[in-house]
Amino acid sequence: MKENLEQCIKQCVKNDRGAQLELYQLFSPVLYGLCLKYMRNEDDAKDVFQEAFVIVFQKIGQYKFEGSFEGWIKRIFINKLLETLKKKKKDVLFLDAFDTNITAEEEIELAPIEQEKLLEYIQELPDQYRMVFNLFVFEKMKHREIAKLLDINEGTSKSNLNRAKAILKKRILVVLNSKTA
Amino acid sequence: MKNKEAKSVFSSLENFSSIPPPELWDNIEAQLEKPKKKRRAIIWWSVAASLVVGILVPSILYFNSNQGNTFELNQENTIVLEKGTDQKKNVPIEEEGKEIIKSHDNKENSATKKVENAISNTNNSVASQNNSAVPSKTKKQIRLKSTNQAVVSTDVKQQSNTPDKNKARTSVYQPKSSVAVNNSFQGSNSNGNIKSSANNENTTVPNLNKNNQVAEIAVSKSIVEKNNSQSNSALKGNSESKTTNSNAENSGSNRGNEIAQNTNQKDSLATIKKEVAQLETALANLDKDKTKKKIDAKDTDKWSLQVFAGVMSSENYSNEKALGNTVESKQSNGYGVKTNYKLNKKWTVSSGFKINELGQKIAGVSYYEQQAGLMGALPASPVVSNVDAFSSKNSTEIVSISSNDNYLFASNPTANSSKSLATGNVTQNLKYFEMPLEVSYSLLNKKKTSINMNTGGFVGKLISNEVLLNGSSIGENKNVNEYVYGTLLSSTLQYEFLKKTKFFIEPGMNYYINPLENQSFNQFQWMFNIGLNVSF
Repeated sequence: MKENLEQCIKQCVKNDRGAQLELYQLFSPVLYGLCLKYMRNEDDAKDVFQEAFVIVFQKIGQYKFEGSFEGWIKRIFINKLLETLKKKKKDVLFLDAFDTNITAEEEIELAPIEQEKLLEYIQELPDQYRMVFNLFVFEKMKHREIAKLLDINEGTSKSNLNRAKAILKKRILVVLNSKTA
Repeated sequence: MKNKEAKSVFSSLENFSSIPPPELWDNIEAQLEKPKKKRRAIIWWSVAASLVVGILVPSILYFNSNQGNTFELNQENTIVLEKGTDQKKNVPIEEEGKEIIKSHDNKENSATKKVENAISNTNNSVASQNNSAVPSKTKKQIRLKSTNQAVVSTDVKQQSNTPDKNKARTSVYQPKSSVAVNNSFQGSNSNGNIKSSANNENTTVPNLNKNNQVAEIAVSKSIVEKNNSQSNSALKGNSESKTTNSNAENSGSNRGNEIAQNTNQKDSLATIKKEVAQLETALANLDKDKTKKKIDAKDTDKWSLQVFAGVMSSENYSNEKALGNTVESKQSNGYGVKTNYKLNKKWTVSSGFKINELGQKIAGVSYYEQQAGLMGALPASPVVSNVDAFSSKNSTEIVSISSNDNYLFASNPTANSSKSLATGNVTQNLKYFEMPLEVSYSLLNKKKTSINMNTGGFVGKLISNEVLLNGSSIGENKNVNEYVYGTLLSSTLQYEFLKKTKFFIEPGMNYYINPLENQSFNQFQWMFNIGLNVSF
């Protein structure tokens, strides 16, 4: 498998369309899922997905077979996703000064919710919250790293994450309540 | 929700994958087949062009001005010493001197005209760039507007898509309704009748154009009412009914029964609705403020102020000779302030003022010092006495370059005459108050680092003029022009070490077109500035 992938990458460097398709088929589900998590809707996700994949094929020669290829390709996608979100100037404001009364809520057992619903709630988050939330929860990045990546301070990253979680929690609770009612 | 909790709830999404629509591969393939953009080539061409212009212009000016720049002095300052000559002999020499000066003047005039033309051309080009900046700014504003529209339209699109997808989207800009709508539907409408939600969401679009919080609250209230009416109607199974105001009011009257049945849920729903509405309203307001601030900041960031100081070295690259000796380089220093205005992402114009010094050294110059006794017999006008005293077979030019007539210098002294002359080092310093006008092109702008190429011209006014003989001042140089013109080429490497504050180094060169009349002087100058650039 690993050797196959290596061979496939080498063929992609040579611009072999067959190998490129093979690579696409191998990674596109995960990467498309990634795009859906970061972007507000499917149309935006499609746009970024296409652009990022083109970049991957253009820069694949720069991959030195050090570290995981999936990590490398994911990094390109995340960079592209963040870049696209940052370009949406109106949405990209990080609400560091904003302070509401959202504090730690009482602990409630959260029953599992459908993947699609969760994805929908994440997509509905404001861009800045969604970026921080995704990077923290799914990419397992630390606030320091997020702050550096998004050019914000650590405090902003933390407060954005808290707000994202507060909004999500409320959304989930409403659904759970409606189910139990 | 604690971190662990959030992670566990969303762990199902950690490796979330979804098969992309098949047409995406076709699009990617089409893009891969497109020829690569020649953006890099364009950048390199523009760099090369600016370098060529920056180097060619000073070079042409330099070589043009050199054609008439032999060491010929004013007739007033020139005395030819010949053995056995008398005053009569001086007459043709003076006339000859006049001719030389005339021809020299002609050449200089033509050179000066060229320079003036070049400068006016440069100014025109700068002016045209300034003019071109105006539409670009307008474009930017238009683009900004269109972006805003796009945001609105996207939101509207999402809203209009919502019924089809059976999804209601939340946006920061129309949150009062959309979140509430979602909640109400998810809370009570299992059939997912979203037709009326689209109506509701559409009603929020005008809110985007309103800053009036009261209006927003009013709309929020109406939305909540509508939501309730929708939930009621949904519960009644009336999935096809479209929400109207009258329907909302009618169904609103029946709400009490439903609330009584689901008091707890409704209470929590209402609280959540309220909180989310408040949160989103505040977010929207904050967004507006921040956007305003950002736009303002972007506008103000167009200006920056540079304070700099540096060392300069005036060079003699054409082996010019003065007073019979090779002109040597001279180090000096300068400082100044410059204001930059960013026309667009790549181009910047700047102007300011600068105190700069141009200088030269001439070692081993033969001179006469009247007070030292050697020239003690000379009258105030040393013409005849000089000739008798220091005449030799070959002619020796005695010149007075300094405003102090006690010091006379010999150009090409003969063996005989040099016996009677002292030798010393002459240093000349010319300090100018300069006003540059520069155009900068950004070659690289990455995060905190930027590299710019700058070219332009300057005009300088003489503020200090000093001739030193063996380190002691002997007055001013008589032949110095009050105003000087020049061109410059430099490269600025900047690093932002504080917010809005950059440290920069700036190697470059200046070319002075006309520092002195009828006398050789260093015209090229290397410079190395360091300074701070503050954006505001």
